[in-house]
Amino acid sequence: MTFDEFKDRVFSVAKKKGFDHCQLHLDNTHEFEVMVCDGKVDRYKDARHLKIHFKGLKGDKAGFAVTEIMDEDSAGMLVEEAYENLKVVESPDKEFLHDGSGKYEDLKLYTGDFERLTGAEKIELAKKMEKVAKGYDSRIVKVPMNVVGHFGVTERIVNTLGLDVSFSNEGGYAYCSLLASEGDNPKEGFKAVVVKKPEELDVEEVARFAAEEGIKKIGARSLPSGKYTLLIRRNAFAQILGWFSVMFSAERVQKKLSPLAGKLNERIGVEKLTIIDDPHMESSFTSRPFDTDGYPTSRKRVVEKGILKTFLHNLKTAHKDGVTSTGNARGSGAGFMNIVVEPGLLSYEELIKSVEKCILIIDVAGIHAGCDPISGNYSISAEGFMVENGEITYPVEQITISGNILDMFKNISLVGNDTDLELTLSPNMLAYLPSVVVESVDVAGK
Amino acid sequence: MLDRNLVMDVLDAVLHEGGDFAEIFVERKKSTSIAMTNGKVEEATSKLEFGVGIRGFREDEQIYASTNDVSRDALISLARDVGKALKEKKDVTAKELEKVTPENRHLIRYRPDEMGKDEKVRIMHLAHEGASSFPTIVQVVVRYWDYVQNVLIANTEGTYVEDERVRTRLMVSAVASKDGVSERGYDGPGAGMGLEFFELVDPKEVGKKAGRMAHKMVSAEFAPAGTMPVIIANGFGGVIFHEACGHALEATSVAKGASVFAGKLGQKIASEVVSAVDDATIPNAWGSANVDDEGTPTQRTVLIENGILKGYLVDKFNSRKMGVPSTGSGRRESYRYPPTSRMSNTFILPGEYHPEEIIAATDYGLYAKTMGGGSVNPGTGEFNFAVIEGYLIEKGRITKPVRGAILIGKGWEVIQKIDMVGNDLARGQGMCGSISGSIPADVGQPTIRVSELIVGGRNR
Repeated sequence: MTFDEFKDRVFSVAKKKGFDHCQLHLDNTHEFEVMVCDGKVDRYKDARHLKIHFKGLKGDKAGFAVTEIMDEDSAGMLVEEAYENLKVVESPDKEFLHDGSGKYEDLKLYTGDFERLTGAEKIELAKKMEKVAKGYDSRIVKVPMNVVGHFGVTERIVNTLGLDVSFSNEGGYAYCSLLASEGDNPKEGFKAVVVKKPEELDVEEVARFAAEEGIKKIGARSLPSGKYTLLIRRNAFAQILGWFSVMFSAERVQKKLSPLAGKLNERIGVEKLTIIDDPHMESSFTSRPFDTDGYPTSRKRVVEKGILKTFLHNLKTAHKDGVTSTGNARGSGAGFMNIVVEPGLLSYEELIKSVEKCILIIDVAGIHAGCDPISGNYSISAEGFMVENGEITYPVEQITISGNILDMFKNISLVGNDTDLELTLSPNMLAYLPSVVVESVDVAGK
Repeated sequence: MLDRNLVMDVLDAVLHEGGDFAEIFVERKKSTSIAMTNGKVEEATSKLEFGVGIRGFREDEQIYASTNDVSRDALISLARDVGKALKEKKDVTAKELEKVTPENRHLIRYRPDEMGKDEKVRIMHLAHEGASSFPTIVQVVVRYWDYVQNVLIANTEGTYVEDERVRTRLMVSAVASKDGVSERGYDGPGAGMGLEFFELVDPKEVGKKAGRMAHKMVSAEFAPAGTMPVIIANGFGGVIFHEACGHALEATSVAKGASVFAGKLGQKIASEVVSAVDDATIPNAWGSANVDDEGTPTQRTVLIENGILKGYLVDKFNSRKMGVPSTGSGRRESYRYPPTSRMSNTFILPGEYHPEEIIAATDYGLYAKTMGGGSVNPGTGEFNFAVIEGYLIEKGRITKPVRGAILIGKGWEVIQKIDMVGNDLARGQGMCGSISGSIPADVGQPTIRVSELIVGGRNR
């Protein structure tokens, strides 16, 4: 059965069942990843799958069901299950479908270039990465993870109100994780890159960066507890800001699950802080012309010069607040498609030079457990280097940094101009941002 | 689930092109999830997943491909691709498939796929009621999740096995607010059971636990920062062992020599009061199964005995690399992931102390009553995890609640610093994320004391 045949079948069954309107969201993905260790293919994954999300409306309520099978039985199951699910809904909030109105950006997101690479070529890239990392220095004792991957997605949303939109996107990534040691206490060197085109994938550079960083970390020590200035490198800042970005979701704000509730049009950060949602960056594989409601996406300033300008809405939360959707629907909530921070004036090297004493944070861990987007509090593990008089002096490990994200926004003293694409913990959102200096953060150590 | 002849043809198609071992994993999973906010069901979703994963080995290399196009042509073509990617054809033929029906240790009384949604919603209302019974609670989110997963696993060594895994879970998150401060309380028990689980676990009590936690924490001061003794309560506290040690005992990192515990079998790696096991055979436990996701019968594996490293958790692929048998630890989230060695129900065994004795023996420190999640780097042993309900211990007594603490350390150091182990073993449920996806896993321990740990908090 083709998707169009399946769609016609589902729509007709749904009408008979008594749904007023309904929608199918087809999500077709291809994920590829190869990992090499000791010159051997340790892991090779090639996964193609489709998912079809059904949403049916009756009165103000909606029922949902998902399937991975396109056949007659499955069409019946989707409708039956969704109907049963609709019956147990108690919330008075009105549900919607979008009719396809509005301007859909024509984005050039897909070329199929990654699909044309053969498995053997990708294995070679991963092997090359390992070879460069291993050969970099005799203190590189192991390179367990040499990974090259890419994925492609095609989504189509079609409903009985006349909406029928689709897009494709793709992207690639590579990362290298290695162990550097002069004895007992191994340190990890790590580097990940995300790219749009295969030719941008410089695996040798990834290997060199990881190796260099691993070696620099040897001999790291903890620090006495106290308040410190932090220079948070952009990859670490991407993880923290990415995790806390759910605070901007109107759904969370309406449910009082966000520390930003009641702060619209108020100052929440320093003048230097501007945060943008840019769903249209052609260099990002999380960009998209419409959200999961099928509503057109748009570029917007969420925080402008420290002032909170908007929350992120889907159709349902927008109706509740009496505004229009911002095109940020993601599943049942809302979120950034790409979170962008406007750059400042100083390069990364100049940032290091311009602070008298600080900890340069190059990585953080435990974000999912130690950052609470309800209160904004964070307490996470961190590592990096001590910077004194504008020079990196020694590596630092086994410290935690703690505080509240809104205090961090208010204590940013410098914003760099070293903007680049970084991964966040969400597979649906990349970050494009610079490194920042934050004053007076609680650090715990020995 | 899939025609037996087709299964055989798929396996043959792999070996015909290359490799020396082939496996097929067929999965059908039906799940229900319901979300309730402030006592009202907001969204209910049903999901049907169905797909196939095909894997081949050639010596110590492996190739995996998956699809949910399960037509004969698509599967045979995918199998050939896997074989071709393995290159070299070996002189190996598939053995005749011999169907094995494992003894089902996990009997289900009320299958969730046969129970009405109203019944599930009723349970959620009880949980909501429990959570909202504390004065500072402003928001309660209750989630219910169940699934029935059927798998068929066959390989060229003649394995042909089917298994069914049923799981049910209730998760309550309560937010308390007072004087502009918000804190969260959480409880999320689950089991390899149907709705009979709620005869064992009272949903209202689950709610109360979450509500009480948030209510207490919202009035708490921030935890002090620094290095101090930490007592970790039983149950979900076992996440410390899971993160600090368990992941580094998985063959996934051991086989590559990328774990701090590689090559240390038979050596003393922990304090002698520490013994720990991984046991996937516990009837109806959250992390149990009759066979693992490679069709190997599950077992109880002793990891550490009186401080001595006794064993690793091994899957089929790494068993080749390490030259030791699989421990039935090959697991995966779904057919979309190749399996690898993972924990099931992993816990520290009970010791000799009553928990009260451990607290009384501690002059100053942190009592971590409820742990949140955490993570670890198996290569360096560096771990972190959050304390979502903590108390200060002063002069052998629990004095006041403290919030916002995180514990960090290195696994190989911390297990040497466990100096007291209680007699109150309990387990708690979590979802463990790693390279083969997110899977249900039990963590567990009795109350334990770590003589010193770095506590991340605020400076006084």
